[in-house]
Amino acid sequence: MDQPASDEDLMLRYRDGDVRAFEDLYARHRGGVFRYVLRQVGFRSAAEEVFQEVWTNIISSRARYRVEARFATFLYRVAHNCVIDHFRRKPPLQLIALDDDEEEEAMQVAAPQQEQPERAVARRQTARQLLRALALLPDEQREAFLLHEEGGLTLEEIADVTGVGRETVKSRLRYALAKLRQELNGSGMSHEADVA
Amino acid sequence: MKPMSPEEQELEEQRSRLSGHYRAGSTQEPPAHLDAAILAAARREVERSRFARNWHLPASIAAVLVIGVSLALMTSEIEDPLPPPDTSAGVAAGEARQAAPALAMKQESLARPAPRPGIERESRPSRERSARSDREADTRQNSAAEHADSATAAPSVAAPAPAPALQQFEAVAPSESIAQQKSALADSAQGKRATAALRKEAAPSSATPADAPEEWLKRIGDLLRNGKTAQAREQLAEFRKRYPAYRLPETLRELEAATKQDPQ
Repeated sequence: MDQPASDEDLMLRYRDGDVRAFEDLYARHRGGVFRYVLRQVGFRSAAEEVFQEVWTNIISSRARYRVEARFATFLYRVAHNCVIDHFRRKPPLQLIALDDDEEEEAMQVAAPQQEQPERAVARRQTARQLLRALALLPDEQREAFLLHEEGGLTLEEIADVTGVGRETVKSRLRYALAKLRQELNGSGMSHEADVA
Repeated sequence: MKPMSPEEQELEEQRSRLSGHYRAGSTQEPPAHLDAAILAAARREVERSRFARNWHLPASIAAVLVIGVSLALMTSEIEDPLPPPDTSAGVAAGEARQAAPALAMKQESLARPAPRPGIERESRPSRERSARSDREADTRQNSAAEHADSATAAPSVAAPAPAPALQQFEAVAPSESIAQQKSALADSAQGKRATAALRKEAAPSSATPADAPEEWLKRIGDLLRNGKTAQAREQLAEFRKRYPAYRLPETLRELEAATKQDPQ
């Protein structure tokens, strides 16, 4: 069975004019990048704007693309820069997790249909609590966590994207995870967290 | 990639425990219209670059053609030189006195019947040769006359170039009128004046030098300084026909104004 093409191969094919390759690449990363941006900027409308900017930059850089690192690193570096640019244009007034409607929408999708109703409710509450805790993290810690979770970046890659040392990234990630666990334990969700 | 330290392994275990909860609540996706817009932009970018690639070749060919044709036209213009400066104008008076015999020879050649179009190509070189020899003779006469008149004759006057404009004049002049002028010259005691008149007629074409306007104006100024006001006026009138908008020097502006007020 053929292995799926790597992100880098797809981007190279797109550089050479294969639009289909870009569609595959976009399908792989659209969710992760969107959530990374959404958790960083806090508002869906702003997130959509920044998300589009990220992909516009990727598209316009296609002719100059060279494989110097994993595509994901390149992609999330662009996303990181776009988020910074967004905050330069519109300084953050208040970061919130999600508004209730969006959160509810997310929870509905999250619950598997065959799950027991009590268990589904508990999972929903835990996820909601985690997202709230994530929104309250310092920007750097939240970003380290999101790049790890959504982008699947390694410590070195996160260091590359954010422009800090590997040990700094490790420290940020450790603090982020500790705070998230603390929030979940404090709200009585430790069992759920451990089960997962 | 570096192997994970025990500290990093512990970190990874903590992360994986939270990851499930995070993923359960993190299912937000970009809206469909945004997907469509981004994919459309990706397609447009590819099409644009294809167009840019395809556009280069025809544009390059068109540019080469335009430049080539322009150069060819410019080259053909350079190969067809303009008449040389009119060196005869400065010595017209002296010539009028001295050049009657040579001019009579020239009138001979001018009085020949106009060539038929069919033999134009064959007869033209010989006619040009004839005209050239006439002019050379004329020049020799002029030179002698100048030497006789003044030992300080200008060097440019001593070496006049052949005047293609005069050839042109000869080619297009009606043979009857030239024959009439010739007979008038032969019969009349006022041959000098007639010669001057003939030269005057030829002057418009010979007074369109290939020189820059500045050179032409300089020569007109020289005429004026030498007291040849009438010739200076004629030359200035010719100059003005050719360069209607050219800004004249002060002295020539005055001359032009005086000419307008008093054309005589």
